[in-house]
Amino acid sequence: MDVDIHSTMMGQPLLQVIGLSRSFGEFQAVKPLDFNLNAGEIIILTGSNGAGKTTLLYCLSGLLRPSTGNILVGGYDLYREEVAAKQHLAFVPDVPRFYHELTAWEHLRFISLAFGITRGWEKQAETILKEFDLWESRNLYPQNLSRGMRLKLGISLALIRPFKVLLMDEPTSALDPESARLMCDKLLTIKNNGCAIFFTSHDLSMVDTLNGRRWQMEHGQMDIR
Amino acid sequence: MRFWTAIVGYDPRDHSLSHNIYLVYVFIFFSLWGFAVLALMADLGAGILSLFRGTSPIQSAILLTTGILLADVLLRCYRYARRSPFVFSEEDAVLICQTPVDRKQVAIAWLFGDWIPAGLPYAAGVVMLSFACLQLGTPKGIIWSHLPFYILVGFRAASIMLPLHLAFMTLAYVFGALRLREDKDLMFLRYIPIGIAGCVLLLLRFFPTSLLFLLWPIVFPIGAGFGVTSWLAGFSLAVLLATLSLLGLYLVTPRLNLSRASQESIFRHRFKQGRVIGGQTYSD
Repeated sequence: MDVDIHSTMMGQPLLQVIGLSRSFGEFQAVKPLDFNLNAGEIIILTGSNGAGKTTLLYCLSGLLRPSTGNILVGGYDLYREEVAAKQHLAFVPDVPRFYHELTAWEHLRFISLAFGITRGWEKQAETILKEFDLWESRNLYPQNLSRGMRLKLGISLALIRPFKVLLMDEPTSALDPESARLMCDKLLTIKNNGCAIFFTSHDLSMVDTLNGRRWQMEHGQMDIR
Repeated sequence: MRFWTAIVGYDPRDHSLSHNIYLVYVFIFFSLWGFAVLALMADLGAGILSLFRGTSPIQSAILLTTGILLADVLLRCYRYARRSPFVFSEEDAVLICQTPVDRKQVAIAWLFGDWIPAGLPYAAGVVMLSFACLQLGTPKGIIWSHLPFYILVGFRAASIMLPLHLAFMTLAYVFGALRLREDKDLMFLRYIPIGIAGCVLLLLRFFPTSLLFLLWPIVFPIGAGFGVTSWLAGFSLAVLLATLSLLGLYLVTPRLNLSRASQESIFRHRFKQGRVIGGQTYSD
């Protein structure tokens, strides 16, 4: 797996969140918060349903605009320097999105080309698909894959391109135990390569497995430890 | 476009000879069908042109087309000053807008994807008006020997209307793209098309000749499309305007913020799809 190894910017957090909040009318889904993620950190965000975890992730990924605050990825503002920031940010939603017209293999090609990877992506794609046991399904369309397979394909799309910060929403919720274990191994490798990982999960055992930190979110308020 | 091409049986993955022959047949069929429908609608066009008193049918057609195009552009500018002209689906938001893909290429691709369905009604409209002008100028009625003239006037009108419409639709997209650069939200932009519309109405009321002079870049090519002036000159101007507009879009979009565009357009894409499949809400 080839991940970006240029993640050791001296002293600068890979992800900086400054005064971020998100409201929907009168309802404050995410209350103002500040935090940093450094290289080699894994943060697991837990909380009850409706706590604001997914809203926060969507804000961090750029899919949802925060009501207030700034987000810096690798030192680049997510809105003022969008292209540079997104070079370093990967996001896997809980329900990955795909084009119905492209096969699994074509999706990997699409993402590789979008990131300017014109050579060598085939070998990387093959490695990732074989690791996730998707190689035999590479010519299938996403709508013909099971839910777990679609999640693995979504994760594959994140892993085939370089990044410094990886955001994931419930990455193991639909995976079988073997695939979940493989996923944890991959996250550890990514962490050891100097990237920062931030994901939501209801599986508290991952905190110890990944030697990460657990943050709790309730009613839009995050408890950072 | 996917919906309409699927309706006629187009399969982008089918490269067989029979499929290609079928596509040629579909193209010919719908060209002839479109021609026949527009010719039948020429009566309606003649009726509309007759409502304009004191002007010839051709002058009425020019004024009508100019007015509709101008109103459409101003309306688009007003809409795009408030929300993104680039409409992205949820899939686009994740698979395209999350990547560092060239924003210029995305803008151009989305523009042309929207322009084709938007431009065709304009082309059909001016063809219909051209047929109406021909019909009104032929007191003995239409006979089969007039068919070449119908094809000629239709081609003349459509060949100018399409690049002209592209030029002004692109201009509206440039307007929208200006607002979507980085994290800037230029609220004052929405007042510009309102101001222009107000000025146009005032000039129309008190200084109509001046208005025609100001609208020359629109009026001249449209006039050429209806045979008032040289077709080549009108076509060249329309193509030049389209080129300049596309260049403008090219220059404005490197810093286009696709996150903001997708945030503003995901729900609109759902409603669009809902309308296409009969009002059902689109959801996973």
